[in-house]
Amino acid sequence: MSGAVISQQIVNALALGSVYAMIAVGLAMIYGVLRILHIAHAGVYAAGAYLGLYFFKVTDNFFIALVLSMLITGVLGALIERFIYRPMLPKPRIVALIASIGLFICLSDLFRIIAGPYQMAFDYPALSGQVTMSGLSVPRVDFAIIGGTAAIFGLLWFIMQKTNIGFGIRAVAQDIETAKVMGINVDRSIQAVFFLSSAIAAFGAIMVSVLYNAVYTNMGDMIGYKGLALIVIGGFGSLPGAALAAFLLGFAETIFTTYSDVPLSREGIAMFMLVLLILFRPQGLLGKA
Amino acid sequence: MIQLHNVNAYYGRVQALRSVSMNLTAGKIFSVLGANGAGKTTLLRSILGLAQTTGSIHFEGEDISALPTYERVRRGIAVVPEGRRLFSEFTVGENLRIGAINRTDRAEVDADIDEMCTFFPILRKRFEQPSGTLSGGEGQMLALSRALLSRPKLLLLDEPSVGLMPIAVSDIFNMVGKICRDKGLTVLLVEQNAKKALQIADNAAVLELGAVAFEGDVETLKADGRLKEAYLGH
Repeated sequence: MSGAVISQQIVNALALGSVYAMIAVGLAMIYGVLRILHIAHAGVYAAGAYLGLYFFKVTDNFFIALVLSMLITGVLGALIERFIYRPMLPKPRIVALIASIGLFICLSDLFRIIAGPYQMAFDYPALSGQVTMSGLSVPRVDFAIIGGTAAIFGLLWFIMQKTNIGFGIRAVAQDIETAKVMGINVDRSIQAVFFLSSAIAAFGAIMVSVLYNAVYTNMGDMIGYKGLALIVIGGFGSLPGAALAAFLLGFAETIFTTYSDVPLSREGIAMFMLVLLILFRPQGLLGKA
Repeated sequence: MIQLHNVNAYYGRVQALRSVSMNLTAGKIFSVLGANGAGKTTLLRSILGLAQTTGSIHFEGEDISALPTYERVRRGIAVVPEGRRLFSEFTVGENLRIGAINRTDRAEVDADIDEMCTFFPILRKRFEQPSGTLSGGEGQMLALSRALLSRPKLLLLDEPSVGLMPIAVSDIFNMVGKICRDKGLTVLLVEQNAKKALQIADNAAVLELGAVAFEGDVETLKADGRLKEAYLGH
């Protein structure tokens, strides 16, 4: 096997892992502050793709479309928190979980009603096609995904570690009530988490739409399921754990689909990994026992 | 400084405070005594906006009864919660900084942190360590310092002696007395250890089944035979 093929696989795996990481880290942040599994994140992800495509068609400027979609999807996430989850928080968490599943289904149907049941093309020539250099052939968008993810995670790290809002979010994730008596506006911290994770999901969704040249109603389903699996694998609520698990999954899927004859789909492998890991390490990769 | 007027507090259908009225004088230490379940912690939770209440609470002349917790804290109320409630994933230093999260005077915050580390040298020694590694007494010092870092006008202390060795209890009470008098803080101390609480308090109240059974100065309380028997043990 040539070095070029291996390099190509590494880039593919990194890009795949990046997309998973964007979803998983968002879900882990939300789980961290509210202890809920935000199933509807899959719908928010698809909303990001639809909005991105809409603004791209309207403005004909990919960068503006990307930014507008991230902002509006972020607001959508914050609205979901404000009007759906927040009133349910005093009730057992299963109530929010059921609401999340309901919302996820509603969003999917809403996209079908508004945009139609058929797959739509997201054709952005500047990022489509392959880059070929020294025998290495990689989708151009992979580089945008990897670079964009690095920039987003760098910014997220800065927000969480170096700003007051991030400091507050980290406190809320440990103990909501004590965070309140420290004078932290807990509702605002939680809104910030929903805004950030939804905006990040929109970025991932737009990149994937360009990669596969497709936007469709249930495009978030599989990645959403995997995201939920990844926050369990990473250790509930652990952001580095979720990111690590996402990249491991990216590599595992790339290696298995390329070199194995096992008749399992990528999704099958992901879920199989989850079952194995939880059997032997119930607290997840970086979770505390 | 803070006035409670006819405050009732509820947990669902259970009433935990019954028509509680209190008036705390600025710069004084006020102890609230009472048995388990008498409503002491609920009293603090009501002041902080963490309990469902009726009646009115005025802080420095302003009715704060409808304000969310963070707004009350920003107006100058801080708490050392029962069981300390440190952020275990934060270092000692981060636990101190979170107490000052709403302050913008960075240089002053650093000076205050330095002052706390002078009061409690162990905090400087453990500054970069996770707060989970502290002993009970050290944790209590951190929780007290964290509360003081918001530069409160009113400090609420919820059972600071629970879970501590007797020597640590004495240390904490001495420091509370000293720091609060030096800084002119008003303190509301909820405590089961009546002897210790009354040593540093100016005024006191006794809660029984959610209602105020006594309120007055400490000397009067000490002289009251019935209360002496029930809370001071001799």
